[in-house]
Amino acid sequence: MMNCEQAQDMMIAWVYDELPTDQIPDIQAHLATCDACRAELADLRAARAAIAGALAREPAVPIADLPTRRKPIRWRRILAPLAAAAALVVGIMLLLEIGTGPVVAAIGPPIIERTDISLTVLSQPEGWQDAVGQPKARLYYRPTWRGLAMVRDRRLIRRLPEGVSRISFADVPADIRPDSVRLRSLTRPGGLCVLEQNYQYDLATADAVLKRYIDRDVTALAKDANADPVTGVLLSFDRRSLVIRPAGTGPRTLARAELQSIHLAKLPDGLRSTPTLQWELENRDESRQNFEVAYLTEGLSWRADYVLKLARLDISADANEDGGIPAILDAADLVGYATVKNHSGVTFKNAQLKLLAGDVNLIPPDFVSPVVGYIEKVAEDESAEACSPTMTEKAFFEHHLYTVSRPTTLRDRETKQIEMVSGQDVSLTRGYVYTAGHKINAPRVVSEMVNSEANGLGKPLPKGVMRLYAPGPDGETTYVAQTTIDHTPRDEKLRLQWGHAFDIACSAIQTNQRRNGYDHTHTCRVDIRNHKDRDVTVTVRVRVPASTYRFECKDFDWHVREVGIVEISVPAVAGHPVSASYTFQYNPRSGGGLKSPHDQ
Amino acid sequence: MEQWETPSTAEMPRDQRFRCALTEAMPPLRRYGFILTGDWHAAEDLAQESVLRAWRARESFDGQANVRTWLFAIARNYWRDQLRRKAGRPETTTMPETLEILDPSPSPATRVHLAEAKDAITVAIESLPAEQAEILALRESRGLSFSEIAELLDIPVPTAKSRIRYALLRLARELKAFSPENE
Repeated sequence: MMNCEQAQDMMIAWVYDELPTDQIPDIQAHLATCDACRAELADLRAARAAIAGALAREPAVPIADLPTRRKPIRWRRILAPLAAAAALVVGIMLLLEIGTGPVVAAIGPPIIERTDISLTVLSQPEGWQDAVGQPKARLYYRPTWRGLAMVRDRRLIRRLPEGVSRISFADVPADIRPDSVRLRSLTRPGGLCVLEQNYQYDLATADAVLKRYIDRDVTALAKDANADPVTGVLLSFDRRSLVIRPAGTGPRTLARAELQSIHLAKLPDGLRSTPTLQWELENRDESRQNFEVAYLTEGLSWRADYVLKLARLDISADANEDGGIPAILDAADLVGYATVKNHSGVTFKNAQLKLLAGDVNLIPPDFVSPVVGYIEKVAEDESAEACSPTMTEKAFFEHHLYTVSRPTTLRDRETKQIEMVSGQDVSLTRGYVYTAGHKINAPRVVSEMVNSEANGLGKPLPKGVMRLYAPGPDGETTYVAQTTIDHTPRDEKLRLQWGHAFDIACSAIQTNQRRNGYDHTHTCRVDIRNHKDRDVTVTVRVRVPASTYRFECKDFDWHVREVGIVEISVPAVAGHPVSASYTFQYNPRSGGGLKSPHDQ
Repeated sequence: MEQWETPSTAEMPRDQRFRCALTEAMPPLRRYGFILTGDWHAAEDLAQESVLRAWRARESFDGQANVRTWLFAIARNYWRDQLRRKAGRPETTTMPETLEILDPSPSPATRVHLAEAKDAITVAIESLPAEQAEILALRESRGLSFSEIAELLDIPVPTAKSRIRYALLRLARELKAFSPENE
C-alpha cells in the first residue's frame, strides 16, 4: 500500500498525463481510502482547469497593419554595453535592409504609460476676480481668474511603430489652452516629429449630435404616450423647438419641452465623450520612447491659508518700561497651508506639485500668457528635494516656488490643503488703532509681528487668508477673526487687523477751523474712553492733506507714519476718559514737508 | 536545414525565416507571460520585448538550439530583470486605463474582455511566488514535460514536480478564497 507522499508525487504526474497507465489502479486504490489525497487531486484539477480557462480568455490582439511604405529601414548602430550578460540580448545591430517593417512594430497596439506628472500652479493675481470652477457664461467686470497651471505630463510609449501614427490622450483638462501644448521626445529629441496636433472638444452634447443630424432622418417621441412618434428629416432646431419634415407632408414644428426623446440612427462620427488631445507623429527612432507633453490649463489655482493660534495672551503685563503703559504682547503658533483647488475636469494622480507664489504678471485670457517662459527655467533642478518637510521653498525669478515633496493626487473638483510654513512661539504685539473721523467709534485691533527667524518665522509668506484662534475663558481654542495678508518677504513686519475693540470707545470732533488765503488751520479733538480692565495705548491715526507743514499735539507723542498720515500715541488708563487735541496747518500753494518731531 | 526551419520556410531568406519563427512564437510567449505575471498587458509587453530583443540579437543566434527555446530564455531573462528592477524601486504610476490609443486601437469589446479577465484566477496567478510562477508557466504555456523543465532549470525532476504541485495547490486555495460560496 502506498503512502500519501508517494500518492502526491503520482497525482501531480497524473493531472499532467505523465503517469504510466499501469500505475493508475494503484493511485485509485489509495484515493478510495484517503480523503486528504482525494481533496488534493480535486484541487489540482480545479487549478489546472482555471488556468486553462484564463488562457482561453486571452484577448484578441489586433495585428497592426504593416507600414505601407516599402522603404528600406536603417537600423541604427548601437554600441553594445560591455556587460557580458547583456551581450546576448542586445547583440549587434547592423545596417540592414529588409523589405518589410521591423518585426515588433507589426504586432499589437502601442501602449502608453504615465511615468511622471508635475504641476506648477499659480495663485490668483491682484485685482483679478476669482472665477475658478465658475461657469464661463457669467459676465464679470474685472479680469477673471480661472486658475492657471503648467502641466508636464511625462509618458512612456512602447511599440510605437516606425513611420506615421496617431496617438491621443483622453485624460486632459477641459480648460486646457490648446495653443500651449508641446510634445517632445525625451529619449531623443528630434526622434519624434509632430506632424499635426489636434484638440478635440466637440463633446457629444444633445445639440452637437442634433447639429450633425440636420438633413437626416430622426424620430421624435412625445411625452404624451397617446401621440404618434414623428419620423422625418430634421430641418432645423433651436433651444425651444425642432422642425421636422415627415415624408410626404409639409414640415412640422415640435416643442422640445413636449418631447420625451429624439431618436437618431447612430452617434455621428467625430464627437467625443471627453476632451482629447491627438497627435499625428512620425517616429524615426526606437519603438520605445519617453516623451513629455507640456501645456497650460485653467481650472487649477491655489492660495495660502494661515492659522494663527494664540497660545498665551498678554504675556507682557509686568514688563513695564519707564512708567509708561506696557505694550500688549501675545505668543502664537502659526501654520500656513496651501489650499489647492482643482476644477480642471481631470484627476492628477501622484503629481509632483509646485506652487508659484507672487503676483505674476498675466495678460487676461485670449492672449498667450508669458508664464510658459518663466516656468521653463525651473525645470532644471527639480530632482533633488528633501523628504522631511512637506514643502520646500525656493526663490525663483522675482517670486517664490513651493514644491510639495511627495507626489500628491489632485482629484477633480477637489480642494486640498498641504502644510506650507509653520512657526512656533511667534511673538505678536497687540495694539489699538483709531482712525480719526472713522465711522466706527472704536479702534481696530492690530497685531504686529516680525517675519524673522528670531521670532520663530523668517520664511516668505505668500498672500493669503489668516485665521485667528485664541484660547477662550474655558480653555477651548475658539475662532476669533480672519484677515488677509499680502506677500510678505523675510524680516518684514506684518500688520494683522482683527476687527474692532469692544471695550474702547473713541470719537473725534473738529473744534476749530481757520482760513487765511490759501493757509488752512484745523484743530480737532479725539476722546477715548477705556472700559477695559487694563491700561492700553491707543494709536490715533490722523489723515492730513499732503500739503500739511505743521502739526501740533501738546500732550502726547506723535510721528509721521507716511505722507498724509500722522499717528498720535494716546495712553488710555482704564476707567478714565482721555482727550487728545491736535492742530494741523496746510497750504496747497506752498505747504508740505511735514516731519516727525524727532526728525526735526 | 537548420533546426528551426520548416520545409515551407526553407526557401525564404534567413531574416524572413527568423521573422516567421518569432511571429509564430508570439502566442505561446504571450501565454507564458500571462502565467508569469497574471496580466495580459504585461504578458503582451513581455512577448513584444522578447521578440524585439531576439530580433536584434539574431546575428548571435547560432542555430544550435531551438529558436523557441532561445526566445523563451530571453523572455525569462527579461522577466527576471524586471522583477529585480521592481524590487529595487517604487512602482511607477501606470494608468493605461485612462488613455486611448487610436491607431491601431483595441476594440471596445477587447477592453471589456480585458476588464473581465481580471477575475479570481488572474489575481491568484499574480500572487504566486516568482519561482512557482516560472515553473508553472513553462509547464502550462509551453507544455514542457517535467524532465524537460528539470533540465532547463537545472533542478532534479522531483523538485520540479513538487514546485508545480505547490503552485497548483496555492492557486486552488486562492480560488477558493475568492469563490462566493466561501463568503
